Amino acid sequence: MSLSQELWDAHFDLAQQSLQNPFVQGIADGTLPRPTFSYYIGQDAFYLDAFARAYTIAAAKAPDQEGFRVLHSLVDGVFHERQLHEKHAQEWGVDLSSVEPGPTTRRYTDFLLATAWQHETGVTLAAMGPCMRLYAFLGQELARGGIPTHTYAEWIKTYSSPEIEEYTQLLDRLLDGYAPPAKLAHSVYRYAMLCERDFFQAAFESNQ
Amino acid sequence: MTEPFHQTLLAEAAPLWEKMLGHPFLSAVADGSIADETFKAWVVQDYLFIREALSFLSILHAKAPHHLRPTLGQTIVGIHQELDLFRKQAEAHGISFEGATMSFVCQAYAHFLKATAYERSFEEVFTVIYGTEKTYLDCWLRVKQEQAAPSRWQAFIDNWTSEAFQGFVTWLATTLDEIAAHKSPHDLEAMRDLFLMTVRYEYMFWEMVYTDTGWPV
Repeated sequence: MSLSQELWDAHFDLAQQSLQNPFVQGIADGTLPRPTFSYYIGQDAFYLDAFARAYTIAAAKAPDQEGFRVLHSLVDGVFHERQLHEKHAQEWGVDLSSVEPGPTTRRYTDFLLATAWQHETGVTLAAMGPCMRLYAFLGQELARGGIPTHTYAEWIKTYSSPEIEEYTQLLDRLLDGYAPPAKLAHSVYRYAMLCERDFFQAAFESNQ
Repeated sequence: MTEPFHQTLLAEAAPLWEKMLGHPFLSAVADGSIADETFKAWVVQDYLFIREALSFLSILHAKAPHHLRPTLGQTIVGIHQELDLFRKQAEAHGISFEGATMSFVCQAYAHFLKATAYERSFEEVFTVIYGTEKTYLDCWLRVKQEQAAPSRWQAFIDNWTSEAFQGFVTWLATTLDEIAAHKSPHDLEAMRDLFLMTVRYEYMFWEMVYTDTGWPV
């Protein structure tokens, strides 16, 4: 079994917890309060800036041309996602330039950047894997019965799209190729999965 | 600026600071009622944390202007001595570091230190080290003031209340005031945020050990 698959399987309990999180369920059935989603969009935009930086740091450290190229194409994917957030933010009246990261967001971005600076490319990819794979999973799960027509249809459509799955596989293949030490890979992967789940929870609690 | 910058920071952090100094972990160490297992858990977590803090300090040292490098270099030596203290105390009290892993809070705090060290300006990183050392000084001074009898863990209490350590923290405060004097309000705001974040993590560190929260799952 490939490392990326092994990581996903080993920490699937946390993916399930994210799926069951009231924030994600609120997106699924369209009942999520609007201010909660606005908060999330702002936090996620801040997060994506750090995520893109982690890719570029990993790219700068990549030992091969192929990795360098793929990582930069992944950065392009993040920019694309960031543009969607800007579009959403405008529609939702959120000012992305004035977003203050919450403690949970900060904890996640500190983790990503500390890992990217300190470790080799493969370890950083293991830390970044959950974000990609989890969102593809959530998008596909929520789109199972077809894309709904409610407020959050666009979110579900985006993350269940073939492009997201493609980017995810790109990252997974690169991660498998670099084959970072398994124990460390598991440790950062699980930590990132926890951060993902807590990110949803923090967004959910922002409007309680 | 009329008020020295480090005093501005301390004033901003005052409510949080009081909460930290009043933490039951510290009062239990002071009155001797702290459970052995709780203190031992702290020894392990703090040891793992300090080891990580070494890379933070190394980066700070590398970013420092020439005239501050000697003292910051000494700090790195001091941290190695602190790790020796932990190892000796661990041996004396039958504590093992083998296979120990950082708790969630410990790891988050270490990531915060390292991300700050790599990403932020020298002045910002320096603010964080002032925060980590000043909190330690005040916390352990509080323990020392409150304790009626020598503690089983006296070596730790003495380590962070020594005159040498107090002198070092005073140097950090004075130096912080100097380097802050040339910074813009925007930069000072960023330094203030990092300082408050550091104090929060210090509080959470006591809390994590005291309530035995290793990992949320």
